[in-house]
Amino acid sequence: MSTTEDKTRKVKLVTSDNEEFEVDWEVATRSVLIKHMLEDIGESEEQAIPLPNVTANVLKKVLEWCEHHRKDPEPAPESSDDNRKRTLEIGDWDAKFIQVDQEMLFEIILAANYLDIKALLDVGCKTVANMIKGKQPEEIRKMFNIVNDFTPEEEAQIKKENEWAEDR
Amino acid sequence: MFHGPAEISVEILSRCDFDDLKNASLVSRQLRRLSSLLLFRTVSIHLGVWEIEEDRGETLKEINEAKVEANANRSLDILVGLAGNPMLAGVVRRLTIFTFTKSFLVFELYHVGLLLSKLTNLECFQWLGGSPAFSSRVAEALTQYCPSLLSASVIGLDDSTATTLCNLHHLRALELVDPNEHTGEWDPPTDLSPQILQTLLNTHSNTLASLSLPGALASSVNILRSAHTLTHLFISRAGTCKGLDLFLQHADALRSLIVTDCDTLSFLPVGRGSSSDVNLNDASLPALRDLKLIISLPTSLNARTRGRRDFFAESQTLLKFTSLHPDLDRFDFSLEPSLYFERGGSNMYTYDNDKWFPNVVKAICKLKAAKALGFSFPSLSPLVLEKALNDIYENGISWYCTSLRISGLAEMSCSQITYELLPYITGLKFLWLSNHRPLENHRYVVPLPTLNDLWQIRSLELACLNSDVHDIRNIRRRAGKTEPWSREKIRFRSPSDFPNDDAYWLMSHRLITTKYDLGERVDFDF
Repeated sequence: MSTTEDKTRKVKLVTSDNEEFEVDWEVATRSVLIKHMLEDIGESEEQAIPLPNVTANVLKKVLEWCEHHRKDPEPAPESSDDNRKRTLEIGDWDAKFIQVDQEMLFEIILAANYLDIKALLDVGCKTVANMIKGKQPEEIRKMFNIVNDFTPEEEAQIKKENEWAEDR
Repeated sequence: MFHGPAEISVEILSRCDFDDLKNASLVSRQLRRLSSLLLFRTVSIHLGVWEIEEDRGETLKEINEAKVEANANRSLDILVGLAGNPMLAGVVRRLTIFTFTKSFLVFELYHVGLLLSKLTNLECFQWLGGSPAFSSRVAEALTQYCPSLLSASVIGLDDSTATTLCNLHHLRALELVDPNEHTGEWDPPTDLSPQILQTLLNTHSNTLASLSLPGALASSVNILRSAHTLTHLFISRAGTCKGLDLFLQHADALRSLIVTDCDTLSFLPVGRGSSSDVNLNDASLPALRDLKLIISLPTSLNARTRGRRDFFAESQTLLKFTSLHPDLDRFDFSLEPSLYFERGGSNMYTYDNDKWFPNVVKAICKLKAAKALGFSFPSLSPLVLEKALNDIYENGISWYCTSLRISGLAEMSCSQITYELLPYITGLKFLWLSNHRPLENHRYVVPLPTLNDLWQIRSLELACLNSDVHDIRNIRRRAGKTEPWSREKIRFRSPSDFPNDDAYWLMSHRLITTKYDLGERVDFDF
């Protein structure tokens, strides 16, 4: 449970390229990883939290998202609808926020995964899923610069095997 | 994008739809491997084709024969192909085999055994349909190759196969009833003796979390040993529910209780005192979240043997129970004929529905936030009906309900529900309306709302009107008509066919039949 004192507290974060960010407790704790680290550190406010897997330009972007979503309610525990087709809709602000080049998009997804920010990871993954949507294999290869390492026989076999799969 | 950690790629792929996943699997070997994790988690095989009474006419014979052949070819392809591909076989977590054929399936069963020997990570096995019944060859293969199986749904268990299943020491779920089954359909004969079933249950008594049983067996075995582990219990064709009351008094882990075709609700633990004098701390079943109760109605054929119902007493029990459990997530209560296809009425009109049904409405109104709600109306006088609808609406259904099932609609309630209730349930994703009134030998059928009416409910994704199930979201997206679900899909519906688990829960253990005694169709001028 957060206290009023927590909400006025500042948190220092240090990126892999040694840049220091000072942010509100409420913003930083959108990340479950940081939240848990802060709980472990306790009251020693001065201690900076190292984030060896995140660079400054990515953290800046991630914090921009956290700042906008600072008042969002806590995410619900794992939904039972996980195995179902999920909607790929993304909110207006998030859609604009995630309009970045592919490299940055990937970095944001990696950072969201490392920092354990489920909602941001969801926005990132949905964006990529939207990019794939309706595309043929060759178009997907081109878009993500992937080399086709199948033989024609293997491709034919996969097409056949995919017939065994069911939409569920 | 897909050169990074595999877990990220899987996160992305898990948000792709089925066709996109299939395309992704053709991109590269790495993407093939990762998308297979999602494409082949669940594999189903259909041997034969489902027929219910109404389908056994000459008109469908040809269609069915073609379908049987197509199913047989596809099934063999899967059985042989998967067994020959260790990568795909290792991905499969759930294998479902629907059997509905007069053939003994000797060849197919051999291949099922072979396939099971390759499914190294199988967690859930289902043998549904049950014709032929669950085979001893398959039971032996399961215990030999999948000893860590967690869940088995087997229709047509007999003494020999039940004894074999005693060797599955990790079993947490044992289902002996098809979740899509309902009285009136064909039931496979079972030679399972209570003594052998008791041995099977005792073997798993410390681990069993989910159990489904037909009432005749349920009343002959003792499940008290599992009272602290069982979270889900389903009893079909429950009848008098002998012994259930004792179990429920101790079932402190039970989360979901479904009892269909019961004669009475007297098994519900409601303590003493009146419904206005309840102490929630004293309530039994502290973990209960889902409750589905279907009282069977003696129809004219068997009224004498099964007796009249005391609906006033049952409704009081129900009211008291929901007063003790106001935080149920899902609640479904209905009256259904004990023989679905019998044309005679149930003499429902001889009961004083205006007197007892308001108690059911009060019971529903006790619920604070049920996401799934189902109930069936008997015929009521207009004023009582009006009040019932108002009370349900004013209780706040519009705030919390995402899945709704209403059956037995009377002449006026249909339009009232369509125009006065539904548009205000802002988060409604699933709706089943039925104007079929199996409870009565009714001459008139009032029309259901049209799909156009239902479009007005912006959040609605799936609508079921009697037996026609329409994917509203799909219709909206394509701005035109799409075919309703096929009969086969209706019969073999699974959670993934519904917008959420609540909707599936409402429609599970319930017959969706096209065989309605339509009588004379009349249009009312609303």
